Amino acid sequence: MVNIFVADWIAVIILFCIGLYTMIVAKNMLRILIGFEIMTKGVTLAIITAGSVNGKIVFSQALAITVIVIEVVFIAIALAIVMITQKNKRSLDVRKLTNLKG
Amino acid sequence: MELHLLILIGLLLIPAVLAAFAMDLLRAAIALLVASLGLALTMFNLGAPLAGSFELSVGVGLITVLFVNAISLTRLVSEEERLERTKDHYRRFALLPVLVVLIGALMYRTQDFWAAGLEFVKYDEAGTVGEILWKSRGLDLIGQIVIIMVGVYGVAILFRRGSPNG
Repeated sequence: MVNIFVADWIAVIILFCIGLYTMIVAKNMLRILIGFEIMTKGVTLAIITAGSVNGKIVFSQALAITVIVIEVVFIAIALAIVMITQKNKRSLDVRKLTNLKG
Repeated sequence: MELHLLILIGLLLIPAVLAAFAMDLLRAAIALLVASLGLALTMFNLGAPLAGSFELSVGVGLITVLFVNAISLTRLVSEEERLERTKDHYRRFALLPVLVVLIGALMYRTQDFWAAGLEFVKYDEAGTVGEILWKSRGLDLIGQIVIIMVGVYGVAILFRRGSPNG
């Protein structure tokens, strides 16, 4: 049984790093959101794996559901902002969003 | 390790890597869909069917629809801009293995700390997920309802007809 959890933790680390790195290096707003999604998948898997290791899978399921709901709302609002930015700026490049630059 | 576990982890990790590396955003969104499917199946495998089915309906269904919708409405990149972006696309990910190794090594070195943290979670687990959500974690549920309402209101404000931004 230990092997399952070790493999899952390795997957969590890889997913989290891929998502974080994509968010750091990407310039396209949609790609940044995809990085966020990948990172959140790592976090959700970490919650479920921790619950499974600890024998508290019911509690961890409740937490995972909370995380998924927040993730969806965040993505919905962020994609709406992305579409409006595209409409106004004709670009999704975050380097061009300099309206608030002091 | 059993073969089906390897397949599940592969179904989760390979599409996630493809989603991050894909040049085409639509392909990235579809790879994300497959990664969500892999995550849902892994959840089922770990004994969390409710969270798995939630991830299956929301991660695979709703988020993919939102992404494809946004991508189809924002595909107005010129050929020159696209070529400029593709030039250093893969070069940007050169340091990713270093980050994975660093965080992996950090987690491995501090595994006793995390294991102790897991031991500290003293939660009475009597009941079902619904009972925990409604009773023990009732505040979480109220927070979720508020967040969903804020999300709906935010999207409605952003897309209202005749607004200077929308």
